[in-house]
Amino acid sequence: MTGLLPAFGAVTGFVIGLLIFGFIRVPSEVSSSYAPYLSLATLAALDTTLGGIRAGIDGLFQDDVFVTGFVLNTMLAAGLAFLGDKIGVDLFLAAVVALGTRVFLNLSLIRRHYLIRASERKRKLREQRDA
Amino acid sequence: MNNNSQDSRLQPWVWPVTLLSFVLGLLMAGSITTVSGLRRTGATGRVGTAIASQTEEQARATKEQGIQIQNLQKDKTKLENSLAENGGQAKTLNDELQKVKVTAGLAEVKGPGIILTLQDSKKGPASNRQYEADNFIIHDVTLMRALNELNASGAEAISINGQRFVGRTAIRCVGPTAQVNGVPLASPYYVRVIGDPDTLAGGLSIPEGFMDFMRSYDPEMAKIEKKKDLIVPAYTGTTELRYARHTATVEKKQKRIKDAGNE
Repeated sequence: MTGLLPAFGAVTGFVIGLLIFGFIRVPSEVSSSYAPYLSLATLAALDTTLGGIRAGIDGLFQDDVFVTGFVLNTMLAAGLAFLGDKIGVDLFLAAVVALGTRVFLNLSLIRRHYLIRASERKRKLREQRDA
Repeated sequence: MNNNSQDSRLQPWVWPVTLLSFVLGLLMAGSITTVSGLRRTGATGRVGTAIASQTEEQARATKEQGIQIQNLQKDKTKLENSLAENGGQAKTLNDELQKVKVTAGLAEVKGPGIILTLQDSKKGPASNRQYEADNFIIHDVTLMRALNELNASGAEAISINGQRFVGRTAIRCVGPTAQVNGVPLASPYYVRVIGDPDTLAGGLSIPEGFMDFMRSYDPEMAKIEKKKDLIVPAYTGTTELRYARHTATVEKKQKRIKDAGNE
């Protein structure tokens, strides 16, 4: 059941976020300048969350790595986007690609972990029955 | 049983991850609301950039055409002068003069257009937002903003409460009234505009534009009424020029003086 807690947290956060951002109306002149950074932060959070889950199920989870990973990744991504804005190159995309790749990688590792566990359980059941 | 023991082993990572998931949800909601808000105003992504570059191109083309028009107008002035010298062209001259008078606002004109009614809000701000009280009154800048938008939408003649808006018109705040052409006017302001009614109304109703701004405080403050036929009065203010001189006329006069000296 604990495996569902992160999903529950995400849904709660989403609902509360909708309420908050629906309540404060930011003028578009302001929001258009920070929208890319917010999107990047979202992607960084998604990456860190999946990374955390993967590390957790592999038994490699460490609090400090998890927190610093999120903070530094977000800062680096935002810094890259800012620099890209200044020098006229879409460095923003570099962060998006790097984080996106990691999201897919982590997701595939999580999927593999559960698939292997399921097949092992099936094998054990068969062995029990055979024995 | 095996499952349970594994779950309790997983416990330490679940809480931080749940917390970050919560943050992720917050951020996601923020991103979605922000981006959809931006999309509504049409200022996002590749399309927005494309439109911006098109606007730039258009601006360049407009500038070039402006120079062309300037040259044509110079040619026109030359032709007018030669016409006058040849004599017997009074009618042509008069026609031209009438046209110029319409453009300059010195003649009463009629045509299709809109009447924009602006009036101070009767309800005022909510009691806990008294600091916004200023936004519930029609100011000189409110009028200027509307006129600017109307001119950008191709208005050909504009009057405010009977005062024709011309190139020399000043709009300023004087006490509780707004002065137009030096005449103090008060709310409600009836802005009569001749031009394409749909374009004029559309210009005012641009998202986040004039009407949106007014309606965000009180929808009763600004109203647009499209008219098939309306009259805009002539400018009655001073037309005296004390400093500005027509360059072509000055040249001609000097030439004439020079010619006379030669004879």
